[in-house]
Amino acid sequence: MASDRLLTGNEAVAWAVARSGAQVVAAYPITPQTSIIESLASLGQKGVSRAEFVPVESEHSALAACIGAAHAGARTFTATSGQGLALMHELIHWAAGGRLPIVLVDVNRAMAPGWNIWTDQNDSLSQRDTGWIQLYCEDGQEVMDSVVQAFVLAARLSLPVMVVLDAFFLSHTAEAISVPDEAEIADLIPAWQAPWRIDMERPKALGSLVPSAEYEQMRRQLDAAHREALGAIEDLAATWRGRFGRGVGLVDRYRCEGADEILVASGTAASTARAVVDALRARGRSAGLVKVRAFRPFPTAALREALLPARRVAVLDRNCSYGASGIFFQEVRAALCGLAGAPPVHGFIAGMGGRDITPSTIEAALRHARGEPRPESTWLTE
Amino acid sequence: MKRLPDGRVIFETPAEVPPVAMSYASTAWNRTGDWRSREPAFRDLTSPCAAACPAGQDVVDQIRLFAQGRVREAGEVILSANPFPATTGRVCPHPCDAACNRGRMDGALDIPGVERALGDALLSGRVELAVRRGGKARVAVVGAGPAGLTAAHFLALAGHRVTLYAREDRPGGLLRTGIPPYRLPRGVLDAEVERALRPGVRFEGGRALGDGLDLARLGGESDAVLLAIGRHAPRRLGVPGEEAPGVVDGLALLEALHGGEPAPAGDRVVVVGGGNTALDCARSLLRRGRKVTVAYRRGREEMPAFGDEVEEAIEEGVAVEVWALPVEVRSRGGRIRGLRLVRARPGEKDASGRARPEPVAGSDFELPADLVVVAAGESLDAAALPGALVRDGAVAVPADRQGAGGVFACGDCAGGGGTVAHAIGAGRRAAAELCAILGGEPPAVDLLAARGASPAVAGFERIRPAWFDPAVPHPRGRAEAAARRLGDAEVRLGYEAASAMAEAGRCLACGTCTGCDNCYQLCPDRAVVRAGPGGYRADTSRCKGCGVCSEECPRGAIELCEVGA
Repeated sequence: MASDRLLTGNEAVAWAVARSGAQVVAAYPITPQTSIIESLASLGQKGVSRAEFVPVESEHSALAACIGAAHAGARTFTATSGQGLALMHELIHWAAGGRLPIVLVDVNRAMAPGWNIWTDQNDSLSQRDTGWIQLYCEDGQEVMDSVVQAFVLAARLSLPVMVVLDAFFLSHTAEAISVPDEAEIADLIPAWQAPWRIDMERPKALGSLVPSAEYEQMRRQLDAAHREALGAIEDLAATWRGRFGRGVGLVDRYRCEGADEILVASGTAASTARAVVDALRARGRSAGLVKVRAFRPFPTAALREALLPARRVAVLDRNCSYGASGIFFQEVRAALCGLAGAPPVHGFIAGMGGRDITPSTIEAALRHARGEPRPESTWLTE
Repeated sequence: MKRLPDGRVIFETPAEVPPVAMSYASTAWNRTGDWRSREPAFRDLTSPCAAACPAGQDVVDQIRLFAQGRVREAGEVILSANPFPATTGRVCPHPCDAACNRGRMDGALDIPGVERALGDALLSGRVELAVRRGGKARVAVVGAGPAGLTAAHFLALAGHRVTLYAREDRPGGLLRTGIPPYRLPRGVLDAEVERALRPGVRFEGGRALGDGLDLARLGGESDAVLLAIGRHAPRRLGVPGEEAPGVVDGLALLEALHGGEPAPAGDRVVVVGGGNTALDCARSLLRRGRKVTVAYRRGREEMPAFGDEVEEAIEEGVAVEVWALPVEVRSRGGRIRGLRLVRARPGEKDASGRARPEPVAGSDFELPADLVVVAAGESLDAAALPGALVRDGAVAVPADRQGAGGVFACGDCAGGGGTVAHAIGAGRRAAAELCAILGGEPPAVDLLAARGASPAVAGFERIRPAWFDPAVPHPRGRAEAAARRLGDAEVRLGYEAASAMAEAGRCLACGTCTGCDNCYQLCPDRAVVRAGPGGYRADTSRCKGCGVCSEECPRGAIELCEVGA
């Protein structure tokens, strides 16, 4: 039976990894991720986690070790933040191109310089085009469930999955979290048996030179796997609702019925936005929220369905593609582009480097959204 | 999907392409060796110790075999370069030790300690080289020091009929007359000399050139004459009063002491000089109850004596006055009273690169002395040599060698390097040259070349310290200084057999393949294949020339070369 525990987001990650039966963990410490692997070490000592921990000298080596272990068929996990994720970048591509079922937790940390350990999404969004599934978490329970689901998706689709949580707001604050029993989830995570798993009985060469046409065919298959993931994420959410009575899939629509103005947010800012929506609704305004949980694969269809009825859309980004705009804003606007009757989309950037996104910040965004839409995002600085 | 005869798999439709780059069959068809522009050369290099050895020993091979307990094979390696390892293990300054790559890690290998233990084991195990025959010439070797003995030994091993003439009654030369027993026990010396003569060298003692031995007549009786007479003529101080009876020559003093004669009278002794002879005189007299001061014209660092000798002499109680130039031997009433000296300071550098001592005016001082020993260097005693054979203070043999009526020369008299090891190397090279002229299978001149090693030196930059377990040197001490003053017991202690082998086991074998399998295991293309016992070669049909084998060879024995170079 599931048990309720008071856990920080990072502790929830560790419990989820242990309950999912991870066999190999290779990671390098970096704030704010470090307490994940510390908790895993502690759970290992208590016998809750049976994963082998591979000490490494860098994040690049951490992911390299995971790639080797995953190729051998081990259920594999790593965690990192900010610069550590950036250091992994080359192997982030390799893991996806190799179609390996690796689960990675990125605790969002602002990129240096200036040196900053607090949250924003530029580290994980820099890995947008690598072929990994990316799931953004709003609260501790979603962290717990997303990590377990990541192991399911990874093994089913032969895709690496990145679960993303906000530094400190989520990683270091504790909530009561329901921790599923191993027996409640074991049947959901298949043993990974792809033909490119290392099999000592059938030696093969991996990662070798391929001609252009075959390379392109492999990349089409990677893209196609993400389309398949759209359905798989929704199916899994349905399973979770059936088994545990909670959870959302690609997006979460909150009080969007008849909403004129809809906020789009991700991560912990979505919780703040819920409070703003409640307050506006209480004042008679028809506001709603769409939380984007899956950023890759990008839930174009789900967003179109959720946003088309609105009169205006305000997208909140805790990130910036410098010289362009907020990244969620770009993608949401692109999803609606060319659709008849599509609402104007306004982009807003807030909370960089861990700055608070308060209810008044979000209300300011909605005030701006009453004006003409701008091609770039508006920085919501006080 | 189509399988070609060479094993390749061809996809016929896009749907057959797998999601990831992987093979469906063996990739043995893929001759990645075609890509290479560089390839490994599995050829041993010369170790820094061997490169530094004046005797030309294959230090790595002898130590490696000894560490494995293969004493006889180790002995065959060392004896093929040096017939006197138990001696050199004690008296050689061992430039190999200073060159040891392990010195940049956790401490240089104690090569002298290992050599000494191996040398002693060869004596007790009666290991010696077999006579190879083939030579038929009559060769006269004049001088039975390390150079002459070595040459006579290797010539006899080649089958030649060798007569070894010496001024002294017993063979050994300076090893016997000059080196004190506390550095070289006479039992060790006797046993090694006896073994060196055993291949059939006839020894005739008491036959000095010009005194019972005529060079021209010797030439007539022999197919070749090899001069190895060393340098014995003392250099004089050139100061007033040095004709006094209490002024003695250092080498003559040592020879007398080692011949069993009593030391000349005099409680207070000043030894002039800074070389090994000076230190040997000082320490020998100290052991006979004298109060000894060594006066040297330059500084302690410039002393030509081995560092250990100076250090041990000071430990034992020898006083050392540096930057002190002799001015006058002062006598009164037929007895020496003292030696006047003047302070010196470093001046301009001389031809040897050392600062010339310049007297400091008015800084005269006197050391009271009853006995003054002069050990200020030796030169060639050319009196009994034809003038044509002497040039620049050394025996000069014309380039064609035969031109001087079959007279050859080696060792100190021919301008050798001055240590026992230099003399041994010179003696072996002379024997090889004579064999080239007279026939007979010569000793190897270059042992490393003989086993196929390149002359390139495997310096520290080629060593991969991470592959070696840390191991500090096994300690090997000296006898207590107080006890040393009481007699001729050996100063430096030797290893027990087990510690000697353990110390030998610290050898990195720089530049020499030991068959450790690193290259074999780490080659990403399985292109390193085993070849012969303990060796490897590259399968060039697969080797891409990545260099991992070369980079990860712990001992730098694999060189990455341009293809075709």
